[in-house]
Amino acid sequence: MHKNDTVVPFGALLFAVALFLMAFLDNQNRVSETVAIPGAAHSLSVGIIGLMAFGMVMFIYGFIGLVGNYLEGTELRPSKHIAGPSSLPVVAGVVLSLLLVGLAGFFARTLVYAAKEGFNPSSLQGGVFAAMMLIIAILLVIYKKFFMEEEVLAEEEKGEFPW
Amino acid sequence: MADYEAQIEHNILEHEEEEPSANTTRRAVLQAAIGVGVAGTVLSTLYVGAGLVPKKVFTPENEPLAAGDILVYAQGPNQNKPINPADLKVDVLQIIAYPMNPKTNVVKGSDPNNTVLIVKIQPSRLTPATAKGAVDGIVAYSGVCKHLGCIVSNWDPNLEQFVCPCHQGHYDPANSGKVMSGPPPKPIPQLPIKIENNQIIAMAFFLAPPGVNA
Amino acid sequence: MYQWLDERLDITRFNNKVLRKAFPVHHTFFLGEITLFAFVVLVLTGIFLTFNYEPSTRLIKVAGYTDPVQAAYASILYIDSLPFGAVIRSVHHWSAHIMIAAAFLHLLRILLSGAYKKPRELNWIIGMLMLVTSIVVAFTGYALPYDNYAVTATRIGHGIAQSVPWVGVAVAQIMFGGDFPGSDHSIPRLFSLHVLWLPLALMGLIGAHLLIMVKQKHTQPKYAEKVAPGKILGVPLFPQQAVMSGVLFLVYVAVVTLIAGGFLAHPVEAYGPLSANTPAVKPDWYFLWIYGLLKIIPSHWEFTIPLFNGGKFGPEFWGGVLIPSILLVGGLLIPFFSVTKDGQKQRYLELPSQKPVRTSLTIAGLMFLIMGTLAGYIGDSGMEWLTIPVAWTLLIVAPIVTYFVCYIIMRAIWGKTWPQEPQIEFIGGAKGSAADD
Repeated sequence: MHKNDTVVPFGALLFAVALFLMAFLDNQNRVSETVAIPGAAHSLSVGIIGLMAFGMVMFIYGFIGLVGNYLEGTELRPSKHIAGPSSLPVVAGVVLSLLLVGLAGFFARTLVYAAKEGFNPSSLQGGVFAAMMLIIAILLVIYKKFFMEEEVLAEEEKGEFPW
Repeated sequence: MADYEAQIEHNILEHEEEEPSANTTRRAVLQAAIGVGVAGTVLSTLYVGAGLVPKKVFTPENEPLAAGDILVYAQGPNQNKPINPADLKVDVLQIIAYPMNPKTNVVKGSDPNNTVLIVKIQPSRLTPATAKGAVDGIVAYSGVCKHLGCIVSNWDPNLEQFVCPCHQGHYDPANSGKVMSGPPPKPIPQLPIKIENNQIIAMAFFLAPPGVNA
Repeated sequence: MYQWLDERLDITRFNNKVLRKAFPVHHTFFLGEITLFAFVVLVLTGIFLTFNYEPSTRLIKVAGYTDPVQAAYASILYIDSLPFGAVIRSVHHWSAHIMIAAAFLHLLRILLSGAYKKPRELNWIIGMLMLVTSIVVAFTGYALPYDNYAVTATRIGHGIAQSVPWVGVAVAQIMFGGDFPGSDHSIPRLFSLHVLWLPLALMGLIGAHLLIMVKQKHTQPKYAEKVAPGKILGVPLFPQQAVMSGVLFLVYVAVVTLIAGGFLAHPVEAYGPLSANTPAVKPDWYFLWIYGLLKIIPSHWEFTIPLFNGGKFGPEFWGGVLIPSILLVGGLLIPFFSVTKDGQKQRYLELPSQKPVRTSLTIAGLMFLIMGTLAGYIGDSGMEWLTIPVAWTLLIVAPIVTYFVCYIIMRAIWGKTWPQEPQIEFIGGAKGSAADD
């Protein structure tokens, strides 16, 4: 806990998996209720929603914790630093960017198709959009890791800002 | 304290020397790639905004005016009742009317472009072209001002012209709705009418498309 | 360009003063940021929703329904029919849950690390108020889809608000715009509260929270004391922390959109429009413990003070209003009872393992909430073993046992380190920058 360790975020990821598993098992054991309008999607129970909400927070927290450890290390020392030159991240970045453009085009296609044909699959649209966001996040991570100057400050405790 | 300031200095020097210009090119390539990818994402995400343009819903109430429709009062105590030509007086404020489907008796008041102005003037003042669509001095015009779409609801008794209250556009009912003064770019289209069973009936569609954009 | 702006706005000074604020690096500091981003996503998706939602209960005809339905319900069907509309509505709903969950975890982190102590008492209080406000915002949004489930759940809240002695009826009438359901004013009233006034209040509180945080600076991991005593050791807000926040925001959106697309949180057609049948409702998970308390408090626990027309103190008041209020006030007072030695400033994070009483009490408090939640399941199929006496026993005994078990376990593991100041061990060369030393 003293440091920006990887143990707690990793534990959070495991906990997230456990929470999703609990939600899944809970849903399996549910007595299926009838829906009011025939053909409508089934709702989730409040307990499952709670488990999944905490699961998502734990997953996001664990993920960003590990990314933070990868990018900023376990401990800080006042310094300025930039990673050594390397071509691999550029190749990876360009490939991911191309994939991103492709996904963006596909996402726009699903929207056009939904507007024209009325076929509006939320899981497909959500999945494609999520993939786009994740790829941009990875691109930012690559850029920060390999091409951004890493600076660690030691700031005075008393500051002029905001007053 | 001076310790890490020195440290920082040291680090800066060390790494600025190390950084070769090849890395500048690599950075530019990666920046360009990320820029293109993110721009594509933003554009495709903005397309979600297309859902904010509502689809037009077609109902019997917003069908366009058609030949054979009966003109009814749009407002007042006789709302939705057919206009009796005998009730019209010469040179007084126009009546605002909507077309009613004669088969279903649905008043088509949901589309503003269906608004019709009805006024009676001296038959001798009508130009020959206007007189073709008029009966006994009764003329009908689209009620939507060609300037910015207000309903032309005022009447100037001295000039004997329709006046749009928004920006004082004047239209001449005796001469095909010609613009006499004010900002409107085009005349309001005339609606040819006939009279049957004491009802005013649209003989055809407006002589030109009604509304601002047309 | 830079020079043009700099000459006019002195942005160099802005950069030095604001953008180079140091952000200490610790993974638990992201919990507050997750809460903030949940709020940002709620506002963004909320804008899309308000563009298409109709806050009205007038009855209109909708294709596919034989009877007319309320316009609010119909507009939800319309939103769901838009391209990506169902996903946006679902992201909005899930983000509300995530905001409350993340805010709660952020609160636990502050509590367990002692970051609420001087000088940060004010931010602790603002934080608690924000948690309460976000729960109220979530509640006011609950009725808006106007399906059978949402209306029933909100009706229960109306009943609880009415149970406050003397003022309850007036408060409920004002907040819900009259009787709920039934009044034509209730949906516009809840809508205004949900999209305008409560979010504005929340924005003001968030602004104050962040401003105070910037002024007071973060607490830091303890090792910073050795590395840079008396200073704040961290990465600058711009660009490094900003990029980290950007990554977090994108990961947040990615995770929530994926789940929200796959699991529509509140499919209105599963419940249908308002009808005379009461569906089996439960309040959202963050209300379940209150709901559990309401289930186990016997109905005869009531008395009336015959003063000024009806000071009735009933079970809904005890469980739905009084106990949550006591917990809230107790929470607000924590920084005034648990203080630093000699009124010093709290500069560094405390380790939960070094504060056995506080840590055990926190876990016992969690156990209380969990047992209250469990009581909310009384009467469900498969929960026949859970009778009211069992629930009472669990509610009282489980937290006490938890406290002692926690304390004993912590003593066994860390007891030897308690008398002394914690030792800070260094790891040399664990990070690139450290290797350059």
